[in-house]
Parts: sequence; C-alpha cells; structure tokens
Amino acid sequence: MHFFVTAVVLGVLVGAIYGLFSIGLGLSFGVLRMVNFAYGDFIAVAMYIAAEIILATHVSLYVAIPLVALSFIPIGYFTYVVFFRGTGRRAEHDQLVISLGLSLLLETILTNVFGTQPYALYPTSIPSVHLSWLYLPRPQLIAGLIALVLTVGIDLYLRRSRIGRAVRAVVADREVATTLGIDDRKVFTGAFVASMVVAGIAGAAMYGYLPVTPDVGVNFVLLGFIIVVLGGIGDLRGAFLAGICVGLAETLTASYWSTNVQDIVPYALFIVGATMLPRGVLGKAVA
Amino acid sequence: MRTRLRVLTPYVLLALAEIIAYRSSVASSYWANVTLQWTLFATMAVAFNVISGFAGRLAFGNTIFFGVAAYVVVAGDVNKWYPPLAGLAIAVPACAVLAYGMSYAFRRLNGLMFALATFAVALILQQVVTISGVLGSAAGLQEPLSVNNSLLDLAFSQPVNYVIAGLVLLLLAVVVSHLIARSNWGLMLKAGRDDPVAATTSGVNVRRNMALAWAVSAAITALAGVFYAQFNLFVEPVSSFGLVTVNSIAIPAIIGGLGYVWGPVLGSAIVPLGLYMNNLSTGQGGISSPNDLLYGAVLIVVLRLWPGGLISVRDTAWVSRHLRWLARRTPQDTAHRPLAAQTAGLAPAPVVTAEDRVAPEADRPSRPLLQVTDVAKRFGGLQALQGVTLDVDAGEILGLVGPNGAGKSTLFDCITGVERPDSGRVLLNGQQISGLPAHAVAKRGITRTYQTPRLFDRLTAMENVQCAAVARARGDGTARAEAALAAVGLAGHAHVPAAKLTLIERRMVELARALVTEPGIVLLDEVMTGLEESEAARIQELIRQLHGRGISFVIVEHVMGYLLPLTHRVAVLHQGAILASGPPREVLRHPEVLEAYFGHVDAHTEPSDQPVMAEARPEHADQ
Repeated sequence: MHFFVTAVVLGVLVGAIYGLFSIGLGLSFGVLRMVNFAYGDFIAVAMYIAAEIILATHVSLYVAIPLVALSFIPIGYFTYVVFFRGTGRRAEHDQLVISLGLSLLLETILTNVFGTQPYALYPTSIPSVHLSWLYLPRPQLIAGLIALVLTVGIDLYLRRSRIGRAVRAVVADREVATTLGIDDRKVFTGAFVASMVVAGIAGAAMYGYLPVTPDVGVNFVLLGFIIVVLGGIGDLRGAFLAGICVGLAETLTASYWSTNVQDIVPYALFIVGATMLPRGVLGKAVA
Repeated sequence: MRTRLRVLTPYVLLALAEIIAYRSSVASSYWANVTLQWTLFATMAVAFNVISGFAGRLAFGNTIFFGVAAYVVVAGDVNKWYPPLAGLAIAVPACAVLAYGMSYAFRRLNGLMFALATFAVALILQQVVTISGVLGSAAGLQEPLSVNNSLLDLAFSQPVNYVIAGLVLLLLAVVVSHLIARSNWGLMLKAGRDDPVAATTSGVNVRRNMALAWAVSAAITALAGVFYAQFNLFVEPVSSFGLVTVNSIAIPAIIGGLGYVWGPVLGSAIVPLGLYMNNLSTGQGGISSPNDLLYGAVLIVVLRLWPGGLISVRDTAWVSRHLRWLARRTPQDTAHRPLAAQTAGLAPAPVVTAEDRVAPEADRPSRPLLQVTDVAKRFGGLQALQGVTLDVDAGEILGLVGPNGAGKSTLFDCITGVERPDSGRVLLNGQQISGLPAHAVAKRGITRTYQTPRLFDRLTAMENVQCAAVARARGDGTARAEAALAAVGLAGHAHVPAAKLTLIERRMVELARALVTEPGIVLLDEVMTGLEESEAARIQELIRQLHGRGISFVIVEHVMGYLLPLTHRVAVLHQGAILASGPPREVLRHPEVLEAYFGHVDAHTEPSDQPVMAEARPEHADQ
C-alpha cells in the first residue's frame, strides 16, 4: 500500500510538470495553432542556463528559476521574429519544418557547448521531504507546486484579464478580432513569448531532479504534443489533467511492470487518444 | 516528339550521374560508402515525397518501413529462418500492407497530428526492439559475414555492387514518382491533398488514394532499408527507427521541395555534403555532428526564403525573367479576355422566356429524382436539421432559402455524403445514397459547389476540372475538362493556378468541375453571393443553359432577385426544418415564412408585385 501511494504521488508530481510544459506548448500550438517543434530543445536550453547560473553564482535553484524565466523573454521574442513571424499560407506545415531545423540546430549546439556528459544539480542523492512514511524528493515536490500555481494562474489570466480575452477573441475568429481593434500580431508574439517563458520555468524547475543531456528535448516536445492532443487541442485545463494522467501512467508502469515499457506508454496513449478521442480526454470542443 | 525527348532528359542526366558515381566508387570504399548512403537516402526522400509531397501527409514515421525491413532481413538471416532475398520478398509487401492499414487507422489525423502519430509508431517499435532479446536488444544484430556474392544472400563482395544496387533503386524510385506525378491518379492524389472534402465530393476516393500512396512510399523505403542493412550486415534500434533517420529522410526531401518529382533528388545533395563535413571534423577535435548543423541551418534558410523548397526557385519571377531556360515551361494562355466575350462563342442557349422560367405546376415533369426523407443531424448541442423532407423532380430547379444558420449547407453536406445524417434517408433515382461515402455519392450523379469556393489551390484551373473528369471515368480527361472550362467561359484561364483566380473565376471553375462529372443534379451553395450583377447574370445564364441540357438544380441563394427568376419552386428552411415549399410567389407570401424572416408581420400589408424578400435579403458576411 505504501508503495502504491508513493507511486501515485510521484506520478502526480511528474505529471504536474508535464502538465506545465504542455500548457506552455498549448499556449502556442493549442491556442494559436503555432507549431514549435523546437519547444523541447528550449526546455533543455533552460535546464542548461539554470545549471550555468547555479555553477557560476552558487545561488539556490529557486533563485535561478525566475532568472531563467526572465532570460526567456528575449530568447522567445528573438525566436519568434527570426523563425516564426510571417510564415505563409501553409503556416502549420512551414512552422513544423522550420522548427524541426531549429530543433536540430539547438541540439547540435548544446552538444558542442556542453558535451554529452549529463549535468545534474544533485549528482548523487536528491534531498527528500518525508511526511510520516511518505518520502518525496524535495525538488520534485516544489516543481509540482510551481506547476500547479502557474497553471491556475495562466488559466485565470486567460479567462479573466483583458489580454486573456483578446487572446481568446483571436482564437475564436482572427479576422473579426482584428476589426474590433485587437492587434493580432501582438497577440501572436505575446502568446509565443509566454509559451517560451513557461518552457523556461518548467525546464529550470525540472533541473532540480532531472539530469540534462543535449538530446532530452525531443522527448519533451513529443510528450508535450501528446499531452496537448490528449487534453483536447486548445483546452489548457485538459492539458494539465492529461499531463497528470500521462505522469501517473508512466510512473505506475515503471513501478509495477518495467522501466522499459514506461517509455512506450505516452506514445501508445497518444495513438489511442488521437485516433479514438479526437476531442481530448475531457471531451470538450476546441477552445 | 520534342516533348518526349524533354521528358527523357532527366533520366539521361541521372544515367550520366550513375556512370560518374560508378567510376568514382571504384576508387575507394569510402566513396562507395558515401555514394551508397546518398542513393539510399535519396531513394527514401523520393519515397517520402510520394506520401508527403503528392499526398500532402508528412509521414515522419517512414523510418518504420526502413527499420522493419532491415530487421526482417537481418533477423531472418541471423536466426537462419530464411535467406535475405526471401526476407526482402516478405518485408516489402509487409511494409506496403502496414502503411495501407495505418493510413486508414490515422485517416482523421492531418498535418502535425499525422506526422506525430506515425513518428510515435516508429518510437514504439524502436522501444519494442530494444527490449526484445530475439532481435538483439539495444546492441542490435550482426549478420555473419557472407562474401559469396550470391543473389540469395543479397550480399556482395565488392562495395561497388552495393552502389550499383543503390543507383538502380534510386532510378526506380524516381521513375515511379515521375509516373505518379504525371498520371490521372497522381492528379487525384494532389487534389485530395489540397482539399480532401472538395475532392471526395468530386468523386475522388481520397482515403484509398492516400493509403495506396503510403503503401507505394513504404515499399520503396523498405527496399532501401533492406539494402542499407545488407551493406552494413548490421541493424540496431536507434538508427533504424529514431529521429536521426527521420531527419536524414525528411530534411533532404523538404529542402529540395515537396510535391515536385526532382525536389527530393536535388535536396539529397545535402547527404554527401553532410558526410563530407563529418569526415572533415573527425579525429582532430572538431565539432561534433557538423552534418546536423548543416541540415538544420540549410533547412531553416531555404524554407524561410522559398517555402516551396529549392526547386520552387524555378517559379520565381526573377528566374522567369533572367534565366528563362530554367523556368518551368507552362503552356501559353490565350489573352486575358473578358469572360463574356468568350462565352459568346458557345452553342446558342435555348431561348427561355419569362413564362417558361416559372413553369406552371402541371407542366413540370414530376418524376422524383432526389428524395430527402426525414433527415436529422445534430452537432453537439446544436440540432442543425430536425427531420427535413424534400423532393426534387427530374428537370426541376428548386430554390432553397432560409436565414443564416437555418441548416442549408448542412443539408447539402448530408445529401452529398460529407456528413452522415443521424436519421432519415436520401434517395437518388429511388436508390439510397445516404450512408454512402461522399465519393460514391458523387459517382451516382450528385455534385455541388461550396459557399466559399473550394478549389485545389496548387493545381491549375484545368487540372482542377480534369481531376473530377478522370474520377468520373477513366482515360484522358483533358478533352472533357477543356470542354467544361469552355462551357463556363474559362478556356483562356486553363493554365492559371487556382490560387490566382478571382472570386467569379473560382466559382466558374467550381461549376466546371461539377459539370464535368456529368451530374444529374447539382447543388449550388450561394453561387451568386458577393458577385456583381453582371457576373451573377452570367451564372444565371449558365444555369439556364445547363438546365436546358437536362440537369436539375437545387440552389441556395440569399439574393432573391437572382434566385426567383430561375426557380420552378422554392422551399424555405427554418431552424433545421422545411417551413414551406411551392411556387415562389406563394411561398414568399406565406405568413409563417414572413414571420421567420421579419418577425411579426402586419396582416394588412399589401402584397406588392415584387417578391417581398427581394429587398430584404439577410445580411451576409462572406464566410
């Protein structure tokens, strides 16, 4: 029983952070149909930036996280302007292909700068918190909390604030929204930058418990797209829930079956989900 | 004869390249290795283009077939189950069947989703292989070195022989791709890529074509996988299924230009370039995987400059001005004359007087051609149609009116098989057509146009029509397509890309595409909306001519002034149900109809001579 509960709690924590970076991806892909295949590599970049900040200044991870988030504002803007702005009529196709190239570039650059040896915040043992018999890795617990708070925040912001309404207006009908005086270019730029900042936070938070190598990005972006689709494209709450489901499924498979099978779980879920549940786990229509 | 020669030129060039490659490959096994890798990845890029360029579905998971074929051959040889040649004979059809099946399983996914789903399958296979001992786990399988140069072993003692095999394979792939691109089937494939809905309602079986295209692509990829494995006598999971190989297949094809026969071959030039750069930087502390840097950078730069890929440079204005020999040769169009002038040369239309137009009830032929019985359709919480019953007689022109959102387009979708009705039946000539797939409905003789014209934008006006012609009946559709284009007065625009046509021209091409299927009945969805009066008059005239040739019509139109002179009968659709139907004048004074359109109506309003609704057309934004 203790084993099961630990597995479930860990699964939820892993899933919460999956949910968080999927929401970042969902902001650009789910909401505005911008395809950023390099998203996972930017998470890897965030992990390396966090590592470098901590190595250079010896600050705690929780100081590094906001610094990484800040650094992702210019990174996100630059990426949008150089690689995404003005992609043409077949935007989804062009963006997918261009960001595939960007992903390859980033991974190769990371390999050349940092080498293939993993960087880890706690190379030997991760500090843990224990609540009676339940032992949990501290960084993972905090990452899960950050994910939860940010998700609720983003969701409320999109629903309640003026800017959030502008974003949803552009999603609903871009042309009508522009005639109502909403600058759709600003919305697209803003959503893209926001999506990248979320990648930065998620990456930095994950650095607390996950060692980073240059090739981790692909797994993240695939997981992200899988979760966005399972959650229902355009549905941020759905994405967060789907993230937790995938995290749980992975952790339980690893605990009770095999860590080898664990890697198959998200892909299998995706294929089943995409072919059988075109509207996502919550079954809601788009946005 | 000249054109035939020109068609052959690329093959001659390729043969020359083969001779050069052959000569250089003899020189060293390094060059043999580079040439073989180039030929095999070029072959797979050409195969990738068949599904991703012609059929428009980015199949990142094409590594599935590369890996499966390699494993089928190597595992069979290592475990002494069967010789490699038998492995090839198993792997190639197996991969084709696998692709065909997966295409149906993933039929609802498009764009990114399809790309990711296929890639997910590849990653699952990679993982399965990694954990199965009989397939060598992560370490892979090593074949025994066989140097007996026998065909049965598909293993050659001389590296040059692999190069020859690779070149033959590339030639085969290019010839297959070329034949597809030039065939009627290829035309239908591209139509399904540009607009699957419009293609199916033109009679094209889009899903089957996609599945067949992927099967062809898979078979060619599998062949390349077999030779790659036999050259290395070794397979392992990551390079068989993983992203590295996806990149080496997809990126050259995309850089060169998807959708063009020679695009992937051109783009595959990056393969030897990458290998060369790798070779330069090994052993001297150079950067790692410079080929990935090259692939990534070239991909981004090319796609940012020319979204169609390198080969689309031929279509740029600069090339057609300065390097005319390089530009794509398109047949010369006749001068851009106004449409009316061209229509003037048509066979004289039957004279239709005002009296004929609104035929008395008794004179109308009354054989029911199309019978819609109690059709209902619900989308989530919206009951779009709630039991629509409607007959259209042979030779009739029926006007279908109703406020926006009344369900007119949904009714058309249910009749043409784009949507399946939740309940109710649709009969054509007494035979049930509801429940049939849209392409089968189209072949029974119902066709339609769309509120916003849906053309195959990457094809020319001519090809748009030709595609429907060959979907209708085999053979060369050119003559039929030309006739249909001439009938709508667009003969002079035959070779204009559909994306460059004006609204009226797009509507006309859509009409021509509908006519070329020799329909018994045509459903027109707001075909005159948004046009100037003279343009609308041209379409009215065309409808009368076609009606004179025995075609029935159902016309949805908001502009009563355009609609009423054409129709024998008008049906009013309101909130998903037929409110009234009958001769136009009666129906439009029907109290319930007035109520639906204007809300409460004063009973004392004098019926004017003009149909009331002519001035009160509902506001319609172009949707």
